[in-house]
Amino acid sequence: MKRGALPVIFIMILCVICVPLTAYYIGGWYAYWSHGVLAIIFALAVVLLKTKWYWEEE
Amino acid sequence: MSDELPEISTTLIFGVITAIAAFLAISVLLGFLMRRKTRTFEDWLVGHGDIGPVITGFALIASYLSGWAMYGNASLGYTAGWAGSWLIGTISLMGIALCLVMGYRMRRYVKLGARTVPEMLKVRFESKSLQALAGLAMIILLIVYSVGQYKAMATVWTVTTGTPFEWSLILTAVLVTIYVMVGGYTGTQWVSCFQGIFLTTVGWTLGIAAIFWAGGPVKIEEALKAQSLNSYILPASDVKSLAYPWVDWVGVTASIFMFLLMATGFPHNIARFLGARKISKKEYWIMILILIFGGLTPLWIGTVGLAGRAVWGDILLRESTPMGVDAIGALVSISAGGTPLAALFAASVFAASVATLAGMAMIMATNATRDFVHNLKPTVSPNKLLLFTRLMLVPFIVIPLWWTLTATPPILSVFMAGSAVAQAGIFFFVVGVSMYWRRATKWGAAATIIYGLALTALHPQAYGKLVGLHHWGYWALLLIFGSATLYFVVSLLTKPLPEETLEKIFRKNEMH
Repeated sequence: MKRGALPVIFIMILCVICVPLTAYYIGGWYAYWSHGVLAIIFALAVVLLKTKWYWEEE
Repeated sequence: MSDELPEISTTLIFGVITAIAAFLAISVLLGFLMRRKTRTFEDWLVGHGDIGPVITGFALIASYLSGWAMYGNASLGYTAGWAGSWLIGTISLMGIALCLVMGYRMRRYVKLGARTVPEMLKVRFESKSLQALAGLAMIILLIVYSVGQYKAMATVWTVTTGTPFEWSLILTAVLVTIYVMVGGYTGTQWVSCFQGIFLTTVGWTLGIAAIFWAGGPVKIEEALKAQSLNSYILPASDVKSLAYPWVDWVGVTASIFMFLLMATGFPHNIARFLGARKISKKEYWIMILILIFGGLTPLWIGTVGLAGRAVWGDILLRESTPMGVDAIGALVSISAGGTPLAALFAASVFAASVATLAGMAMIMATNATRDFVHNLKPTVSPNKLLLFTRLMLVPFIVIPLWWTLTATPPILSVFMAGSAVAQAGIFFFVVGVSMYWRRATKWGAAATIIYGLALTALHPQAYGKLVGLHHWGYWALLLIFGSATLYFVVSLLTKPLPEETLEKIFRKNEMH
């Protein structure tokens, strides 16, 4: 595991954990769309991981 | 806004037929133009490996947005309110992003001779038996998935034209056949790209229109609260209700894992990378932006159901038609946007379900041809293989049609989620992880497939109840984590391929 990637992986895990938490504590529309926002952050983090730390040169 | 369910008009019927015909014509035209570039059966399967990031991105969206996301999500919002969001896939973008970064390695296997996902496994594990087993598993799971697509299209057709549901199902099968025959599935990536743009545009438009139609977000939230649908959990009222993910946090956890893994586990998604060209870092960021727009479409379709529930209450839950609550998407599209939006939505459901059905029938027929016939007898000529593929389309169109006619699932998305859990649990590891993990073995992969298929049969609404497995969440977690455990443990206990073979597959800098 590359050291620089750890905070990004931590953010990704946090995004997943926050999904049920927002549903439970916030609820309604805010939870519904916050899931979308969490998914966007997760997706950007995944691509950051790939392009910055795990890029495969061809 | 009217509290009455909309009526069918001649204008609506004409609009729907025109929109579907126009969509079909554009798809066929694109398919025909791209087919001119396709000279061989292999060209048809993977193209020339020259597909760029925009086309691949939208094609991935099109293959992901099936009848479930594009239509069934409305029924989930309608049936369960906020709790329906656990199957609506509000976080599906997480899984699509994982598929984006993992699936790119498929290119490596194309260079090594793979033309289908099971063939990638043959290359990875040097095992024809594993290729056949994976092909069989895909056929079984895709048949289940196809049932939901049939119901989506037939329901839209019935609601917008008044045709009896059974005839709408048969018409769907006819449309699928026409779509395949006229070449709608050739030039796959280009047609899929067009579909991806179309589905995203219609999904966002309808979602926004539905919210306005229902009086705005605050009114929808109040109406859901008044109907006791203000929670993300709907506790089970009896044993039968346990078969839904929203009954407790165990089900919710299982649904989150399902969405994380299923986009990579779907063979029809990962196959999108078979024809991809080399993608630069900058192009990766372009792809993720496309996926963000497309990946939010399921949320907008979910809002259609929430709006419908707010306006019409539980009226559809009290009706006993084969369409059931799945009629809500089409009904809201008529009320919220009139003929233009209803027609575009019908065409988008056509794109999502009929094109996906055609694609799946082609994948299953190709599996039968390449993973069984060609696998057993490599000397069979390409022409005979192509003919056999066409013949095999018949059973793969008819079997799910018969299933839907004789045992129509009450909520299509819930039904399709059963197959999705299995595809996530099995193929995320067998295909996705195996592309990166050198220590994986064919025995680990085979054990995972067999276990996953056995657990699929034990779905709470299938044979699970016979062994006391009534709870969807426990079933899904058992399938996903059981598959993962078997995959890793059996792989570590068995002998991997020789180092020199693995070096050939995993060495760096060999792609061009």
